[in-house]
Amino acid sequence: MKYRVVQIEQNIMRKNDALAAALRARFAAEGTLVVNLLSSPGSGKTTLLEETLGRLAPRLRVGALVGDQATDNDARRLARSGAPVRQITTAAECRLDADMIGTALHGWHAGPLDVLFIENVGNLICPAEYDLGEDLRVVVYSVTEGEDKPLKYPLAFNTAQVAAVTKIDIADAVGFDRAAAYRSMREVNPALEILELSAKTGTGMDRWAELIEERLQRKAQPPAAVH
Amino acid sequence: MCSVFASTAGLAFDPVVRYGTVKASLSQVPKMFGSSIRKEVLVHELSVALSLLQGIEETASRDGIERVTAVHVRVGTMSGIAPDALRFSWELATAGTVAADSVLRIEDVPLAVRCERCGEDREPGAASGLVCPICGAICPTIVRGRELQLVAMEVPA
Repeated sequence: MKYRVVQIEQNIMRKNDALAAALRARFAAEGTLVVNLLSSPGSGKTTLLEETLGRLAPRLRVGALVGDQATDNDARRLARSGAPVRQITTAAECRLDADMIGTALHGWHAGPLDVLFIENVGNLICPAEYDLGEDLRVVVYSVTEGEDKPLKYPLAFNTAQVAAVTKIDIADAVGFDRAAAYRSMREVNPALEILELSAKTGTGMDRWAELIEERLQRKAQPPAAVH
Repeated sequence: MCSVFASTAGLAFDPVVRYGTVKASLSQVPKMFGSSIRKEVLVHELSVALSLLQGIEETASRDGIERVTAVHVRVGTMSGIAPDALRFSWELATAGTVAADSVLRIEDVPLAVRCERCGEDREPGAASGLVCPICGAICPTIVRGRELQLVAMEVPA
């Protein structure tokens, strides 16, 4: 059968990227710092976020969007902090995308926010591909996960600025090999800032809260142009 | 961006994926491709297949094309796409559309990083970090391997 070829040449992420750029402009105008949390299921994202909202809420206007394939259990848990929280149930989708964020913001009466946390669906593959208009991408990694995980899921670690190493209180008990894990992280992202945390004991939580506040200040007061 | 819906009630067991009139049980997948393909990964491929289809449908409707026999795509190894799962998803997504029974031709693009020390683009092996295979330098700048592109389609002449 004779056929002809029709050239198309189109990046299939282009729609998401355009929506993410629009969200970024909106967040910039509103002065909201947006933090996208990525991780495998069970790394402690929700526990970290629960503790973070509780710590920041007295000083800052904080809120959270929470993505899960099913249930609103996480949103219920997080709402106990008193901060506005909205669940995004993604059904078949394995990640959040910019369109879902735009839809969730619509009609959400959270008021103006200083910091918006987005808890992505627990998965290190797909969420790494989707820009949500965030300022800060944080990969949450617990000490119970393999030390070579950054090499297996390089894009998530490569595109993040911060690695939150959670459950550090049980590092010795589970034989966590710090040097090997951090070497893997550096091999995919030498600039990655690594923070050791325990939401349970509070280790590292002050530094984590400081980092968020520093980033917020930097966003609120852009550095003077260099001449 | 993607219109995929699943019954959430049975999610932990065997979600039914619906798109238009297409229904498929995700439990069919391991039987077809081996248990190495995880359900969450297939869902990702299905949403990519639907985005590809959208591009095809737009072009076909613009050019008055009624049938597409093959579709060329470029997929980077870092994009998290399993080619077999994408082919399976393509079959599901295109049933009853202009691209029904079309062949998906996938061009793999290996990961390449910029090695500043060598002054060259290099291809590290799988799961070996973003490290230059020649000099061992860490190279965080990805130059190729994240592609997810709809390249072209073949239509009857």
